[in-house]
Amino acid sequence: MARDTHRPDIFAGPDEEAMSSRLNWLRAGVLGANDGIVSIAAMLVGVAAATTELSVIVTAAVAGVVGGALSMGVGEFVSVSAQRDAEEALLERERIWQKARPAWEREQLVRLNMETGMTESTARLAATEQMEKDPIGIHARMHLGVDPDDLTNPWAAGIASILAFTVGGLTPLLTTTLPPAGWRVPLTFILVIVALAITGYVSAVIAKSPPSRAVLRNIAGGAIAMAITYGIGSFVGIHI
Amino acid sequence: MSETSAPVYGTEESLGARLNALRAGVLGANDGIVSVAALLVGVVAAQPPTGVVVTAGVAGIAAGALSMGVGEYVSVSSQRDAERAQLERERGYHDSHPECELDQLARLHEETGMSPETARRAAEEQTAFDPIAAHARAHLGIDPEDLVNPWHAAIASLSAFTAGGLIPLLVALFTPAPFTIPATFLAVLLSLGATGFLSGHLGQAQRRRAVLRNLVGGTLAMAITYGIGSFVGVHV
Repeated sequence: MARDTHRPDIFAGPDEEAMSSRLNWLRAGVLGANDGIVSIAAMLVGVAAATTELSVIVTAAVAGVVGGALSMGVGEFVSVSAQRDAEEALLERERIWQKARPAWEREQLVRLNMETGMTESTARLAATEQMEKDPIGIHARMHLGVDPDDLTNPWAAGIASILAFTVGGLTPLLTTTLPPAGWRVPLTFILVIVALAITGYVSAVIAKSPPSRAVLRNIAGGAIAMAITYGIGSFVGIHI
Repeated sequence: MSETSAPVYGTEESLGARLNALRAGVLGANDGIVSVAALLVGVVAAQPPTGVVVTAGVAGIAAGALSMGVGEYVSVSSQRDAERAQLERERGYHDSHPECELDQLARLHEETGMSPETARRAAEEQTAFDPIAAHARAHLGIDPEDLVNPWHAAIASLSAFTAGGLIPLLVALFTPAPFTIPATFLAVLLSLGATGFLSGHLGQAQRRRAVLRNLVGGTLAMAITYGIGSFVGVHV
């Protein structure tokens, strides 16, 4: 039974961990996998329509996957870092406020406690006791929604994105190299749907949420993205 | 005591959702700048008529913004599904063994510093008021009223991508022939820096670090895509 190492056991129920750190890399992974499947498939369909030479197709696929995975990973790292910076800035300001106006901060904590259902006397007592132990932590959790021990992790997002894009992006390679030439493009379209469904399913397993909804949403989303990119590109005659 | 000095995020609700929209916006803006620039540099190299450049740029922006928006919607939805599923399970536990849940909540409160008696009282009062929210906050780190919002992420991404992509397009359109490509590269650098600055400002975090990181990251992404594409002779 795995546990989040930041918190003691009592913070987790029978099969929950504190999922918040997990959730961001889930998002990055879903985005990466879907993007990998859709964009590499779109590119390879173009290449496979122009040539049957395996070496060209493989080279294009590898280039596309490496380029796409790395640039997505960088994008995730930069954007999640912005998020993390914002969280750290909030914590820093919390520290400053605690020093500058401790009485006001205590009153705020009392109010927040009361909003969760405590009576005023309990809220006041609780606030006093909590602030003796860890004033920054309790404020951060209560009104910033930030857990100082569990800030968003840009590396996790970046790595999840790279790995997911790579796995997703390599799957269209199968249908553009192995089958006989005439079958490649149609089979790739089918594979895209299947791969999107699998990504949806896996994401639902990780999220412990209803699989059918995730599968349908992933297929619809990926198909729409592909249709948009391909459609607009064809319409203007440019490879986007 | 008035609090006119309280900064924007000081007592905001839905902070988590906003932070996610910030992330989506940064990703969208950077991607818009870099990918539209890369597309246009390829188009402009053949010195086509202006109409072709406009069409390519608009198409690239439209396709990119929409598909990024869809990607954000789908991926943030999985994140929200996970949060909702946790809340659902919490409801289940509460229905099936309320006494255990009360004990757990009291223990969690003790961990934050409350004495056993205060913790017990607080847990009882919260359970009478809104037990799921209390548990969600205390040990799942979720605020049921502040789940991530896929629509906000999608819209942030779409808008940011569009704004980002317009910059290289405008530069490419209004810079005369021999200077177009270098000007576009320069525009990419400047706008990556500006996006970094803006993201730092919106996050009320260190701007210099954000600017540098955005510059390095965006340039790296562009170099990777362009470099590998050129190396193998394929538009990646």
